Amino acid sequence: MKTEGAKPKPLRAKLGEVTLTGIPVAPGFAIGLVFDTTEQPTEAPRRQIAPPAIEVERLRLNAAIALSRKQVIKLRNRIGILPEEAQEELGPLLDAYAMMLGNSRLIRGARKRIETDLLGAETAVSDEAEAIAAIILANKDDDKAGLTRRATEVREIARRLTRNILGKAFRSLKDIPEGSILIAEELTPADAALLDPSRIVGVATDEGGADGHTAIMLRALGIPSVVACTGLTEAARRGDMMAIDGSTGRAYLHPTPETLAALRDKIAAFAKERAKLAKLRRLPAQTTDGEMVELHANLEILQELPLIAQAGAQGIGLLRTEFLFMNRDDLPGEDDQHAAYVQIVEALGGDPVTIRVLDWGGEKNIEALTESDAYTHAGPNPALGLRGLRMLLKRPDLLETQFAAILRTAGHAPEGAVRVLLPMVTIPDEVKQTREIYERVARRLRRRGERLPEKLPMLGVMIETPGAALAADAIALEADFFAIGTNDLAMYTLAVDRAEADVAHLYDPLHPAVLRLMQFATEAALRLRIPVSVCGEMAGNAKLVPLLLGLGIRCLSMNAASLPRVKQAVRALDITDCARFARRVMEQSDPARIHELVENFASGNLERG
Amino acid sequence: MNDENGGTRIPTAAADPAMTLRSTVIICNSRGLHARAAAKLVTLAERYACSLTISANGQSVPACSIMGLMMLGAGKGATVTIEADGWDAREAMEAVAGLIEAGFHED
Repeated sequence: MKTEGAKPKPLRAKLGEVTLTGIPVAPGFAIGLVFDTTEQPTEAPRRQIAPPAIEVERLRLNAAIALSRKQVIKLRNRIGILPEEAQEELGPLLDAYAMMLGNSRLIRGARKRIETDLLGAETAVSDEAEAIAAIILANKDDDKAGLTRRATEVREIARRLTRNILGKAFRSLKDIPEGSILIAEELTPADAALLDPSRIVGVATDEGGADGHTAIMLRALGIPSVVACTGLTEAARRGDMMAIDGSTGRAYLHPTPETLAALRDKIAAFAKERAKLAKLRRLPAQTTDGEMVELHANLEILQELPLIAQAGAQGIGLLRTEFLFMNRDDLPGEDDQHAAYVQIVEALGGDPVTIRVLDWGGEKNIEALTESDAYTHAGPNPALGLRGLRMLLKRPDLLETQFAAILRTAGHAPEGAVRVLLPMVTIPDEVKQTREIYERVARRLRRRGERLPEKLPMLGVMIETPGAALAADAIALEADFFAIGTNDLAMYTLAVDRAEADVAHLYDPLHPAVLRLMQFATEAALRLRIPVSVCGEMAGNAKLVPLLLGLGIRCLSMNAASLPRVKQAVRALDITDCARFARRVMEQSDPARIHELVENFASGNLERG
Repeated sequence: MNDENGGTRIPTAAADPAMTLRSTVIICNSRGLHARAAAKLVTLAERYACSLTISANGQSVPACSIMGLMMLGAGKGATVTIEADGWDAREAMEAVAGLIEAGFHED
């Protein structure tokens, strides 16, 4: 909460509090200074052209299409760092934009208007977009809001095109001071994707609706926001004090001390709720009979780092490193990677961080790899193709760079603070080969004079295929630890891709086949006394904690948000009960019956004594 | 990302209308056939060789035309007719009907 800028500017000194009511779209409260972002209007005067200029206008249109496509694709690649919900909202929309920029009716129509109506490129695009919007809006449908939304989607891409034809600047969301409340006439979903939640405490706009793409993005980013505040940008000036109540949809410009006090009370109540969780955060994850369970968090993007401490995680059980490779044209070098790992390891203050080396299988989200010869094509079946460690063993340079960065990080961290995890292993020899590279890199670094730990960080294996699970006894001889990735394990075991709607209902991590594989791998690890953890959605489901503990798992890694509930579950359990329960479950062959047992145990109906 | 949406399809040999598969489904996702749903439908339709047409409110558009699909204005509860003609018409029909019936995996 910043107050130093609250001093009103002389001219506006007399202005009292103004309350603007809009639509609440993302809950929470914010007090901050207004930062307005203006975008030059796209409207341009209608322009007729002479026939010889047709070719010029066609070229201008083509250049703008190419540029717009590039922008959309760039944005598509960038959204990988956003929360999942935001990705799901925006990803398919950007795909749709990219299609509209292809050989669509909009583009064909605009080209035709240049030629036959002799219009400037920008006029042709907006005319065609308006024509399409008019057809959409003329439909007989009760859902007028839906039709309007569709028309907006067409106009949105047309605006991007005209902006590029005219060479007008897009809204700049850079250099926003920390603690700002962003105001704008309207934000596009693409704008929302570029907001930095660590600098922007709140958002308020003149226009917009509760179920628009932008609103969903703002909710996913967790920024308290109010939209459809008519007259907002008229009234507010940069640097004005403003408060936002994202639960009631009110924006207070020049708030009085009373308003601020009331809001701070609400903020305090919000914080109290958080404190309840914080109390749990300090309590150990210990069963009633004294068995300690390690609860770790998964980390996908750097922005999640503060959540990990908040959730009370005792480490990072799965640090996905793909984010280092996204949103850039080149591959991250050893120093770039090292800086990121150091930041994370230092933030964890000596708690273990399990770094999974690049797990990539030809998806389009890493441009530098898609465009290099590392991956010439994603085969007909990428899930069964060159991915994870398989790819890295084909491109040892990538692996060596990553190992070097990790080993250097470990050299300056407490012992045991860094672990290395290998994705997509199916045969023990892959681990052996990788360890050779690992040790070679370590020798090279030592010769270079780098400080490395005496004992190299543990090298573990993801158990995520039935092959790895059933060969776990052999792989355990080569690996220092196991991490069972239940999402992929279930997918490969049941031959179900959850993204395929027709078979998604068959996806079930509680299928006995999946559970038996998990049991086999866990027992193999326990026999050789190597640590074994479960990461994946199962680990974050409080109802499944008794089963996992009963199978012998004592380390779970999950989304930070699920951790408090899982901890609560652990603290209510008795290991002997869990073991008995797991035996009962493992006797079952019917998935439906297993679900029933799990539900009953969770609701306490099962006789536990 | 494909350049060919809305473009011409290679006409299939079977011009016999009796060979055309036709099926009617109801849009069940709350946002109807908006941009994202249309994009999913186009992506799916492009996988098949047969000609696929979607009709609603008395208009017919190719299933691989994103603007066309959005212009149908088919909202929740709207009845759409899918027509498929070609050697893989049956599979295409099932896939497209499945996608629509699954509410485009939204909601």
